[in-house]
Amino acid sequence: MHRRRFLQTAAASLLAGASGRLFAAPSGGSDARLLLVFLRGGYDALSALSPYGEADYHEARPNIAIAAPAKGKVAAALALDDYWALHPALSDNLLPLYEARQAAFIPFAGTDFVSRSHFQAQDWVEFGQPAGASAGAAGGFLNRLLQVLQRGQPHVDAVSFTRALPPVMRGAARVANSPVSMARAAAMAPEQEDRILALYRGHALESQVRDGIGLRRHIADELREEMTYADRGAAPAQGFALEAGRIARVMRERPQYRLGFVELGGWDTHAGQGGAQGSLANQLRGLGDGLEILADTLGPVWRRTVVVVLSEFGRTFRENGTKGTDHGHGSTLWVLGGDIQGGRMHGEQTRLRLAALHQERDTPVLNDLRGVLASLMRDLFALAPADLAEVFPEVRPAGIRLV
Amino acid sequence: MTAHDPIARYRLAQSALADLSPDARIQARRALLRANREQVETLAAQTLLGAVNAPDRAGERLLWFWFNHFNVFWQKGLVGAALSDYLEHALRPHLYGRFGDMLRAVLTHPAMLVYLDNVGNVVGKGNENLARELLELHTLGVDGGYAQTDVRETARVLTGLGLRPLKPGRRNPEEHPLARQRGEFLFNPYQHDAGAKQVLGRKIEAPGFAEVDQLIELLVAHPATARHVTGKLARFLYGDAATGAQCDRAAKVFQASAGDLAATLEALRAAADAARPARTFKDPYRYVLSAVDLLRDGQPITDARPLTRWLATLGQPMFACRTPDGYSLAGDDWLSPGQLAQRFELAATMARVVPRLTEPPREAQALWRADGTQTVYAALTPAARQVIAAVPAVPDRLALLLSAPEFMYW
Repeated sequence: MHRRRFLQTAAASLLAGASGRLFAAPSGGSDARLLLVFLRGGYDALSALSPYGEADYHEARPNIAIAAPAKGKVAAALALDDYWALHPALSDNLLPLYEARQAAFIPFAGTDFVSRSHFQAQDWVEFGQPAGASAGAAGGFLNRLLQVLQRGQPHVDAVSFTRALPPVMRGAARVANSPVSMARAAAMAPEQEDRILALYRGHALESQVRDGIGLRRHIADELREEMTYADRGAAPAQGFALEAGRIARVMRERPQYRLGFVELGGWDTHAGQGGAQGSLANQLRGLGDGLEILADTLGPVWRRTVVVVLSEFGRTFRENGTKGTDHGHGSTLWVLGGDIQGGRMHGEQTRLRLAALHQERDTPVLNDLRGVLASLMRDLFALAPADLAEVFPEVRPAGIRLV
Repeated sequence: MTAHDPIARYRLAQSALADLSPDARIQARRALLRANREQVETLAAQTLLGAVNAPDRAGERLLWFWFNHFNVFWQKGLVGAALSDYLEHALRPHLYGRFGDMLRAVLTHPAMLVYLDNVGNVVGKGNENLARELLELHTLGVDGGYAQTDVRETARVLTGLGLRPLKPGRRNPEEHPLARQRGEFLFNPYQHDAGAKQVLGRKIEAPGFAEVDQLIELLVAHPATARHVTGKLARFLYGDAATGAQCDRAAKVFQASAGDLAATLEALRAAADAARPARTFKDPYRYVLSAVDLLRDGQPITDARPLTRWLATLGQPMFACRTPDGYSLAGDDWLSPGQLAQRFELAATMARVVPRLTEPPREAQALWRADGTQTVYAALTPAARQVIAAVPAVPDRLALLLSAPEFMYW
């Protein structure tokens, strides 16, 4: 279904109960869902959202700057307001969401810890600890959020659509993981499954084995369903768009999955990243298409869902010698959802000129990532200050209202 | 340029694309990628065959370690075509040699230079990708005590390390007295930043390629490199049983011997005798190879292509880690509900397929020995043995052996 059509029919299907497997919200708690989309490699935020009016931006990126909005020009950025413009590859998928106030952006976002190492910076984001803390020991912030939510609602779960459990989901609470784009693995006979469970009875891994087998069964069910609906004339989705549809169905049909995680690679654009077209444009289009399908497929649940798209750091303000960009600092966070304060920029802002750069090379960080996420989680899940401090120790929530 | 050099052949084919019509170019590019994919799959299968059958299996597994340490991803440009040469000429000759020699071979290999974008790192127009990963991943480690200025200065030292020009230009860099060349690799003095540089507080002064040698010497001698490299080796060879004292001793040997890898391995082994026993969750590579070992029952296997697919299913395909850090060596990083569930599914496949891969092929039926000679079976709890013994079909029993908790650890 196309985004625009969905927006027209969304209200109607909400009343009708589109899926037939709709569920009641658990009493005494929020039924909101949060899906984190991690762009690994440090996506070039200044291509996705460009400060189109800044002469410095165009001068610093003579080969790869996205052209400022202009009437009738398809290869140009699309103005969101009088300062920021969206990449043209996001015109058909993300722009309609923004115009429907279901997408918002927080530029100048990042950690207070400066690391230009992908791996260190990703860990830092995912552990979500204050500067100076020993990272890692307390697991990731989504796992800590899950622990807080499970105190009020023991049946709440989190799910990671990845082969390995990412640092953000590691910790004391159990989280199941499985990629959705897996090869059609041979289905195991039920009696063999029982035997395996018997082998693990009383073993330290027993619960992980149960979770793993359970999630694989859920995903296999969705794949079967997909096959049934596969030929309705639409071209089959690929890449993230394909994954996003499956993720949305798993989350829509299984209300226990309140927190989700998925990751996309291929954002480390040191060379030949392109401008309005090219490799980064293709990456962005794939991401935008996936987010649109996610919104459509979640259907009635979309209004209770928030999707956060983030990356470990931004890239250099200037292009390098190979028409790409190197590791930088501040980035732009995306927030999407059926019922958010969308259609606008949030957070502290400044003009992005050479004189404003962090260490004369990067986008500065004005909106601490922990603070932004904390304020979002507080409002989304109605968290008390003590709970919030458990998720993000010593955090000062940002003065931003996203939901 | 010789026609039997696959790197040169790839570059010629790549440059010929420009003369084609847009449609033909897309077709030709796909064909090139397909050919690369086939080459890499064949190479992966060959390498795995060696790791299963070869007399020096330890050496084959060390090769895996060093490839992972100096990881490149085959889908980028000529990397796929260069992989075989990268393994055989940059890595294998140095497995028991000097770390600095391996590092030099890596830094001058087209595979690494293309993968981390150093082909575009030329004087006045820098690219710091290789420089950063050289310090962070290949030598000092992320906490090795370097700063952004060191990355920038290192990138300047690395300017000019690239590829031979395909078309003759105004002047031929290969004739420059400071030029260095091997196959398609060229150190181009015209593209090298000749200015003074300072890395980690030390001046780099020698002209031309000698600066790279100076940089390598500086990095190999740095205590952070000794700690980082021996720490990774210890984790790979001894898993969670590796001790701090063991690593410290090996790091001292590494440093005192200026990166002698045979001596470092020996120091690790000597110190390991006293190491405490610990159980480490197998990574997919160890899991699949140990499963194949159990199922091939002492016979060599003749075809390792299924093994490449199984590794991909478990998230650790050969030569296909996209990011320069390579796969994690920490067992716990691989332990997750999804990994366990996929291993159970795969166990059934392996139990069916592996016996047919041996020379001569066998039926799974022939592999079952209830007398406990299968060490995994003997290690199981009595309750687990009871579960397995009650299963009628032998392939199901074997799959259960490979699914048992005892088989997930080494």
